[in-house]
Amino acid sequence: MKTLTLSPKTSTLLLTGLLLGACASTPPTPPPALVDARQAVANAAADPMVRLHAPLELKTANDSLSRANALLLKGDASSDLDSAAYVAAQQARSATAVAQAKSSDAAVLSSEAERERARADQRGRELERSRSQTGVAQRQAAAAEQAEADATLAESQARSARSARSLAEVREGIRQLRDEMSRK
Amino acid sequence: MKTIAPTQPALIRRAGLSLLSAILIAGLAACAGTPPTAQMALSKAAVERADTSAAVDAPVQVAAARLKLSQANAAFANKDFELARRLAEQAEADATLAESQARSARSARSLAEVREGIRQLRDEMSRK
Repeated sequence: MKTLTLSPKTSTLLLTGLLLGACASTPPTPPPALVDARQAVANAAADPMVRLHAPLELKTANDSLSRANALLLKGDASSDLDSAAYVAAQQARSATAVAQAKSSDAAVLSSEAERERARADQRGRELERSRSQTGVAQRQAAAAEQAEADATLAESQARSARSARSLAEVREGIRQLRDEMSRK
Repeated sequence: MKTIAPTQPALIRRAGLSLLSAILIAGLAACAGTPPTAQMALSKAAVERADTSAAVDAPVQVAAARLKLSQANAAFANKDFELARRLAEQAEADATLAESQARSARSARSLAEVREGIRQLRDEMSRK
């Protein structure tokens, strides 16, 4: 079995390297403006609506945040850093607002389509209703016509009955007249 | 034949001198900062846009942008170009935010109107 042995020189080098690495990787404390900017950009980036509707605005905010982060790493804790962080935060909020605007616009379009469908439905139903009303009216008209025809028929039947009666009456009158004449 | 051109060491000296002066000029320019003319124009345009499109729906952001732009102009006039650039960048970001917030507010209003229209239509339909 092979054992790993290090010469004192190598160990020192390794240790120094590790220490330096630790130093370099310890990030400087970010100022409040940068903390705020990181949060705002993270919120925007986590929003699927922003990724969908405002990718350019999000990239702008991200670039400004990178600039602020680079200034922090450079140890430039000046108002330049604060300003870059402020700009990044505002740009991230802009991205969110643009995404909200665009998703509202999309919802307006789909709602308008829905409204048109509802209107078409309503018109369809009105048409159906008026059609059925027309049917009723037609049936009523037909019934009225039938009744009229029945009445006319009844009337003419009645008239002919009356004529038949008067003919019989006239004949009866003639017969009585003849009887009287023959008796005389 | 005698040459008018300077001897080699003289050439090197002259080149060194111009290099030195170039470095000096560059250094001075960096100290004083270059005037952020482009950024000033961008910010002015952004604030003017926000003034026309967002004054009603995002008045606070528009006012903030306008104030920062005037501060940037003052810094520019004082030849404090670094401060002018920072303030101008902030003014632009404020103005853009004002615009997008105003746009978002307008879109939300249109959506509410359309939805209200649909609600009324449904009411009408169910009453019939």
